[in-house]
Amino acid sequence: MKPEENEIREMLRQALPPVNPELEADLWPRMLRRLDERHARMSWMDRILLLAVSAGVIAFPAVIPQLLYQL
Amino acid sequence: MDAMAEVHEVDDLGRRFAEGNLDAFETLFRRHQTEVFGWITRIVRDQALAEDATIETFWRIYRARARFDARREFGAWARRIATNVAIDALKAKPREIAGIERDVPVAPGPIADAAMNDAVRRAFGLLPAKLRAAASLALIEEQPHAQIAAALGISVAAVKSRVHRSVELLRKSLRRLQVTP
Repeated sequence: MKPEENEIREMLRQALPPVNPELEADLWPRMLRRLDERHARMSWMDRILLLAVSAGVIAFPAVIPQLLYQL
Repeated sequence: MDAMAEVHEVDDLGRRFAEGNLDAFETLFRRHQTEVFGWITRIVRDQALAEDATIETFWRIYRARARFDARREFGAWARRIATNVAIDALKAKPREIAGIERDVPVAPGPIADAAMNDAVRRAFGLLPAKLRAAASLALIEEQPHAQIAAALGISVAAVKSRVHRSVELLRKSLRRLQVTP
């Protein structure tokens, strides 16, 4: 390591408190909550999309052949 | 378990995870959460933030599961994603993390240890997130350059270059704050 890097490293070590990299709690319960939230959000969005498509099809039945063609 | 059986088990776990099996994801999460959290903590230097970033990392991993190649090492892949998440976290909260107020001047004249440390923290917090991550891992945590390079998705030479630029910027900031390294 170059001398100037060494100097800066010593200054950083003095200034920044050491961190504890040990995990003190199992994060899986939080992860599960995150997964549940996202799944719930996706199904809500799916519902809105479904409603929008249904409303569009009812209002403009002529688009049905075009939609089927796109599928 | 012999070596062949272990390799088969890891491959099978990776394959099930890639197919969206939640039990396989849980197993991988429990195996790697400590390592991912430790790596992120070394970059963001804040435990609460590191916990949030660990969850975000595994969320991104879960979303990207279909792209996971079961023949690759899950830990290395997770560390790469964790590094990106940690850098995003540094970008989002640069001042709060280091406790920095950008515009507060350091008093001129001889500088006491506490003021010196404050100036160093401030200069460190002003580094761009990518440089701060490289400096934290290489200079403070002394992680091997090859490991940092793999996690950042860059070459070892690029890591050295980032560390060098960090040192230069820190020296410049400290000179501006009238602290001579």
